[in-house]
Amino acid sequence: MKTFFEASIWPLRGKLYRMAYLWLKDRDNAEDAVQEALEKAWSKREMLQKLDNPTGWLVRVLKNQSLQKIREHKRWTVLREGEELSEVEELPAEADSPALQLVFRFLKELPEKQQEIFQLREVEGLTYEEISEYLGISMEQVKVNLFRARKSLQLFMLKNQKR
Amino acid sequence: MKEKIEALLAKYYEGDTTLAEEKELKSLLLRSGGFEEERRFFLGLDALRAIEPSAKPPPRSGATIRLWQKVAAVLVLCGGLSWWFIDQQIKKEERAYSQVMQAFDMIQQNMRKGTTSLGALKEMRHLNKTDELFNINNQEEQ
Repeated sequence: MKTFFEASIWPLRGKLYRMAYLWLKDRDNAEDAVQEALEKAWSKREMLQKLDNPTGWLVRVLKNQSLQKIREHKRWTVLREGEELSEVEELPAEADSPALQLVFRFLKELPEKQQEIFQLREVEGLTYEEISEYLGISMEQVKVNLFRARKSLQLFMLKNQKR
Repeated sequence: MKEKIEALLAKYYEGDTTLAEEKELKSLLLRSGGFEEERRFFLGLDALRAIEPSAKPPPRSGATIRLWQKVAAVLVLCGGLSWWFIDQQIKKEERAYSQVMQAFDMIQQNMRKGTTSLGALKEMRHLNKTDELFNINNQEEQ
């Protein structure tokens, strides 16, 4: 029989990895951040089991781990309070497929929250409810941010078509 | 098909599509001509979805040491150490006993040295007893 960790936490690994990859733009760093977040989750699995939203907790931990990695990577850059993960400028080295480059170019234009919601919906295929659980925000916020992200996508497409 | 895609795209950009409609839109875009940018974008999303971390097994409870296992391990260690100390103590006492016995043996051997050469002195007990040896007194009386 599967434990709570095996049944509810471990299967999130792929989604968490792609979220971290989106933030960090580097596979190895993303994998490390996910591993560290899962190690924390493992050490607190009994506490996690009692939480209403363990996924939200895990995403927050992953975000912190990713921020820490960015700080380690850009030690010479002074990060201001509340600076966003989306401010990582460069595109992933491996995004050499034009289609993937297009996605990353678009995502870079979005604010962090919209990036996350857009990814969870379009890449992971989550419902509004699941996204609100992942990010610990209301369904209304999910809908509003997704609407804005898609409007930005519409403009982005128009701009690309004109080129 | 084009009208269907346009209608779905309009709904999509307004954020009004369901997950099923979004799936249908993606599938139509991949099958139809035109909408190059949109198709490329959705292919990019598919490529992002295909990115997976390296395969790893989940950690298991068996891999960690539980409290009772720690207590049992400490008890076994303490028991083992106690047994070892007692065993060492016994061996030490045995060694000391054996050394004392060897020392006694050595003393005994050393004390015996030269005693054979003194064997002749045993005969000296007869020095004042010549009368007994030769029964002189009895002969004189006779």
